[in-house]
Amino acid sequence: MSPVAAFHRAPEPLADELDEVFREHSRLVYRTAFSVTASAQDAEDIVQTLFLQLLRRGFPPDFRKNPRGYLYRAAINLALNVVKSRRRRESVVDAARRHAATDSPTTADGPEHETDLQRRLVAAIAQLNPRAVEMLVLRYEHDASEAEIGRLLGTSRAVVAVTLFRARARLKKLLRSKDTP
Amino acid sequence: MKPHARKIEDILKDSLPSAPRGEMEPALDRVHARLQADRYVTPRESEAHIEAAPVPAWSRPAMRVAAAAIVIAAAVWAGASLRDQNVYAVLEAADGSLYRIAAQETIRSSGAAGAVLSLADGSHVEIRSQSELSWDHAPDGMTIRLDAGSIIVSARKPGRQLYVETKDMTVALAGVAQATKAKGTTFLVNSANDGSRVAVIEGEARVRERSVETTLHPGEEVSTSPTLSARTLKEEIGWSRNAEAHLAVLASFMKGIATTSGPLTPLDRTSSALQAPAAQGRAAVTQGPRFEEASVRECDPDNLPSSPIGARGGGANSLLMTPGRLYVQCMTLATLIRTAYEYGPFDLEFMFGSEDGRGPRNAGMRLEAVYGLGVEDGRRVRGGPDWIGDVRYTIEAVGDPQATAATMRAPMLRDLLERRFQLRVHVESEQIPAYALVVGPGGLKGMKPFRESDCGGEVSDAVKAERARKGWRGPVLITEAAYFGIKPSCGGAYGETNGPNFHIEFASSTPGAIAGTIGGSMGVRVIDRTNITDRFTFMWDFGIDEQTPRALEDLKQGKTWTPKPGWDSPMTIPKAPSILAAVEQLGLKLEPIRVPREFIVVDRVERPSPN
Repeated sequence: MSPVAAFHRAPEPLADELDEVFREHSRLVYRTAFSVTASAQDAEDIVQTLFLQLLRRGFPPDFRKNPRGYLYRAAINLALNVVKSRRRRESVVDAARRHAATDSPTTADGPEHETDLQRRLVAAIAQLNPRAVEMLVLRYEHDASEAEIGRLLGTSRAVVAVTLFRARARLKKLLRSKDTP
Repeated sequence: MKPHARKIEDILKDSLPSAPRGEMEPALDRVHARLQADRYVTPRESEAHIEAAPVPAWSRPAMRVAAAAIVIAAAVWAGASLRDQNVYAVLEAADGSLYRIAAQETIRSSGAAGAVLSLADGSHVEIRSQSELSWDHAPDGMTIRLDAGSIIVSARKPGRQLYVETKDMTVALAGVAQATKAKGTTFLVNSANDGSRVAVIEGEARVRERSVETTLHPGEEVSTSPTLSARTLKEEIGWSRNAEAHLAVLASFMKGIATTSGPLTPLDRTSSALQAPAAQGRAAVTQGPRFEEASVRECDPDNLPSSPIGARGGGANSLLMTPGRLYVQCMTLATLIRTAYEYGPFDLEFMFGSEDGRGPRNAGMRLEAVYGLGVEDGRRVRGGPDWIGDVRYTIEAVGDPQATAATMRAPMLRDLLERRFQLRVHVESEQIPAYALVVGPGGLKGMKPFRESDCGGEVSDAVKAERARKGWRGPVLITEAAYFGIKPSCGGAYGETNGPNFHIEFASSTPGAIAGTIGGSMGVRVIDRTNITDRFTFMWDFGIDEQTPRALEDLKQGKTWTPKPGWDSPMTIPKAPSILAAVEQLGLKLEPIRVPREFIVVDRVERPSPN
């Protein structure tokens, strides 16, 4: 590849195709990211990060096989990452500052649409394994049936049912726990 | 269901955050706009997989301090207008982290590595380490303020102004030629204690220092700092992660039209050869519009011009016509001959199943557009010395401003070649294997006779909305029409790779219309000999496999369908029959035949006469 060819980050066909992918799937990514992060700002960031990386790095083979499933999984992973990094950050933030931020209708970094239960739920979901989160969000945010979840994620309905059952049980335990912020 | 299970389900249903629709759509519009602006961006070294290495989402200032060797000072300027709130620049740090930078925020690259700032207008700023800058809105565009260090700016978007300010200079892209702006401008700016320096790598830029204004071209620079001006441009951009590319672009322009073409000279001075014995075959053009002056100069084979960044054309092997002028940049004479005599490359004729075997004739070429014309491989233009296929020439020719593109690219170019290269050619023909598309013994199948009343009609607002949601602006396809219960658009054909198949729809076509699709997919000439002039409405699918190597190559390159209302997901589409079986499903068949194919033979040619 010539140096000049290497300078082209996104060939037009890829960029054009990405437009179509964006139109088709960006709402799924946004809704999914919002469900996990409870933050419009973070959801927007995740949509941008995900599609920007596709633009710059091209479509990986897994994406070609199942675009919707790939983007969904990537959105969940990125969202969990954000929530976990948020928790790490908050652990070193002065408690008073955190309370002050919570009082504000919108804060620079934090979730802006959450109630206390919602905040605890988001924190608890971040402690589940990503596969379980993928299924939970599909089930309760996107109203997908267990069979539909199985088809999208490439697994059986029985596995989905068992994973959801265990995830709910774990969530219940986490919500009762005093360790869950 | 147990009570505790019921309760957690209720919590999930009630409290799992749901995206407010009022926020989602504007957010997605903003992201889409930023993606559009990011189509041309400098590459990163690593190509990590998203899922294998999830990276942090964009961070806001408070999140970013520990992540990268970039320190963003707080945005302290009060009174930023409300309209600015949704316009951001994106900073990509050396470690790949992305940051959102608001107007007037100061970026300071404090580590050893630099960063890249992508502006909302599509421009990119590569920042050297130990540099400090900010960006802000200008009444007619954007301004970058460089307080210290070095940046390389790649401005892309025509129609918007971009300014770069240092303490004693202002660089403006306003007022440069539209053609230059369309290709983009890349320039270096240094800011030091004792002055500034601006150097243009690609395009043009105006530099103002106090009351003095200078227009810089590729390779030119101005400096107010004796320290900075002591270093060469090559040394100065060595820090850039794209230094090699910048230097290559610079070299390409330095070796491009501007520098490889020589002085224009009257063609009459060199046209004495026209008095030579009569040309064989296609005779010299001696009537009609002609180029009056021309410059023909050989290109340096080791320094051929490259395409401008982000451009599909340009660089070596390109042709541009403007009113009264023809520019040929480093093309072989063989390619020029093929173009001037209106023949296409061998491979393209498969898609144009005509009987005459000339292939496409470049009929669509127009003024003010740069065309890459491929490199003649010796199959269409034969004979003559080897240099006609190896040596490249830059040609600039001036003629009648009223001449059309079709006149300049064919008869006037032929005349020019005959006068400057003493070119004489003739055309021969050979027989090649091909297919004839004919009606099978059982007659046509699966085709509905076309009636004018079957197409056109009103498209409701709901249908328009659904099409807009899918992002589809083409004609109403047959599949779509069935989905919505309306009529398809009249005329035309639409086809594309769809899952494992190639799918094409004909709203009002003769059965022979599939000949081009078959030829283009199989890589063989297919002649329509159905002798049917009646029009039909039909759809056709064939499975992509080894019988259709060209379609297979597209599939391997990832070409696939674009979403449309009523189209099934490519994931769920079963594979259709192979192309030969699919042809028979329409009641047609392919019969092996032999057809003529024309090629040009060079009888006489000489190295060009001096300018």
